[in-house]
Amino acid sequence: MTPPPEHDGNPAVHSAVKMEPEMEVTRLGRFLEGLVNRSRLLSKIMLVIMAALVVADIAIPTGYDRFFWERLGGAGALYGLFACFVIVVVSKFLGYKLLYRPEDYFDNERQGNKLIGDPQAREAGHD
Amino acid sequence: MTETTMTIGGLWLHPSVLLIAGALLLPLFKGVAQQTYRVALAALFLFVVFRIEQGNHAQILFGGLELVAGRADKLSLAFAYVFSIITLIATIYSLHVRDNIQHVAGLFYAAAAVGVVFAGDLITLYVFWELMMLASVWLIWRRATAQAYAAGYRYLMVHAVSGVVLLGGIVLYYSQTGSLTFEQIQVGSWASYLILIGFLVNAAVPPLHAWLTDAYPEATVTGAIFLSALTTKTAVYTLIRGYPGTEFLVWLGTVMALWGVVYAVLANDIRRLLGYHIISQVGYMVAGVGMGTAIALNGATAHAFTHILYKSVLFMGAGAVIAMTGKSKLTELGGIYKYMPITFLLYMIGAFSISAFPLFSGFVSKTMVVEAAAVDHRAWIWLLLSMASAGTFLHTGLKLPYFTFLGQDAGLRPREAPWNMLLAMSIAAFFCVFIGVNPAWLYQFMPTPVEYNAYSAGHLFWELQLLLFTGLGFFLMLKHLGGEARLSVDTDWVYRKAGPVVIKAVGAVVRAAWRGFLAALQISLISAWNGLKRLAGADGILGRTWGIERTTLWTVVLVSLYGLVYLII
Repeated sequence: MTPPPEHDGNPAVHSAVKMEPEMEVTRLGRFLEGLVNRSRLLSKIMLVIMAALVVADIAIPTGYDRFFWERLGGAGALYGLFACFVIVVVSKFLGYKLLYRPEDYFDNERQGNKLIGDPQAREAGHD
Repeated sequence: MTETTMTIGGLWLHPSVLLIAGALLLPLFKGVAQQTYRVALAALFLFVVFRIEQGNHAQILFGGLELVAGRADKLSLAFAYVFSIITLIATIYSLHVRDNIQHVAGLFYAAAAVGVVFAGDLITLYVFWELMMLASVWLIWRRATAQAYAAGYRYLMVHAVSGVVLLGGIVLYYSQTGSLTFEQIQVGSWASYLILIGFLVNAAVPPLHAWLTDAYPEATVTGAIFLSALTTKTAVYTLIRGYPGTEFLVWLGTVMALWGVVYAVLANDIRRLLGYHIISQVGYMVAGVGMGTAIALNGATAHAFTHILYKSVLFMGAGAVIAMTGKSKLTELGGIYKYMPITFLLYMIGAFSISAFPLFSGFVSKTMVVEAAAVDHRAWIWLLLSMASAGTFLHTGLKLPYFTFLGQDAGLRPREAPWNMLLAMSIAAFFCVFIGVNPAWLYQFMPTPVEYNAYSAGHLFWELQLLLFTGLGFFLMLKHLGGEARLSVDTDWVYRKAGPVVIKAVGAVVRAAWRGFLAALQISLISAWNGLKRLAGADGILGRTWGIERTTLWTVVLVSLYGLVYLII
């Protein structure tokens, strides 16, 4: 079977988005839905696994000691939380203070370039 | 010039020549015949590449220059293998697209990338390098949106400039060393730095990286698979070959790994987010090149190999979402996992691979680069690369899938992606798991024998804790992590915003100066003209009409003077 001839990815000509509330959900989709509905239970299981992992790391020496933290059990867990926190805080700080712009920030590029002025007015000498 | 051993092109079939010739015939076919032809061509290409034996093939004497179009050693073959695998995968992924220009461009692009890794001399390398640029830009333009045209044009400009820098470096290098062979280049001369800059632009090393995250999100859904695989990884190959052990690349690569992570936090477009994670992952490879030890170079090569495969899964998953929903922003997506469950699960295999979860491909390659830092006792590099690893899971493994597939239902009811897209994703996902479970298969292709064991207790404990507790952090900070309907400026601000303003300002100064010069010129011309008029004009001393008396008088005086002078002489 040949898939429908779509011009790929062009939002302008796209027709796939049809609001059909009764869009068919496959058995795999239903299965995933079941998992998502049990997310509280799953996250509790996950936390138990994570705790067991830290305990195991403390109990079992890994044999690496190139850096001092390799001898400390649970260092990976602490560093993971720390790294996650640092990345989000630093990035969001840079975003709000320096990097974020409105979504139409570069739209001038599609409207003839206002940044370089109007060539005709310039040639006429009143610029 | 030494005698050249000629392996005639016909005896050694250059895979790039095969693919280019095959691509040119592609427009002759239509419909199912063309689809069959494309798959057969890509499969043949894969077959030919895997059959290449090590050695220097296709040595040609051209205008007094010794060119080697087919240097096949372990390093070049490792890259060629994965390029040919991804060519087949991308071909299958784009099977439903009817666009000859895009298909031909994609195959030319792949052929050029393979041509670069087989190039034994800098001239051949340069020719394929530029062909890569010329072919790949069509994968952006064929999206046929205003943004795609503009982004493609900027992409072309950046690569055209870097190409000139590279060519300048090659010419200088030849005049200084008298050699065109592409081997390790001694850092220090102007030539070596120019060539290095050319390579670093294509590797998307900050601050020369903005072309990537500017253009890739605007490319066609299927073209982005080629783009994500080829340009940056050929550059990694050239760095491994030409600049191993260049110390500052260690720090450049580490900064790169974190730069990508920071911008991925801010990104809202899903393919831009993935583009920043290309930069982040290539950072590991660049750092590995800088360390230059056997384990580091093997790590960089292995990571390039696995990266191409898992990144293609991620780009294919994101592309499938864009193709089926018409949306590409985190703020507009959400809750579609029920409708695209296969895409979702395959995407997650790619996400676990890039995050370096044990049993997935990233684990056996990324930890090799990090281990290389440990062996050299580079504590800061080790910690920062680990941090970038946490950031990778945070965004590619958690944020993107959470806000695209799970999260708040955005009311979209897409169909599952077509079978060919799912098949292509499945093949790449299979490799991600296969390599993760069976790293020896990957390690046999590495430039030097690999004695590294990824699955040590130390690596397992560290990676699993790092990743799972990053996950905990994600769910604790979930409220602050959604996409925001903004864009974040990167170094392309220099040529997209500052450039035009500077040019306008400089233009105003130059225009004023030119007009002033013309005015001054006019004034002096006018005064010279007036002077001439006073002397020889109708009323000037010499131009006036005289009366008969005065004329007679002056004639008498002049003739007398003449006679007098004649008599004396």
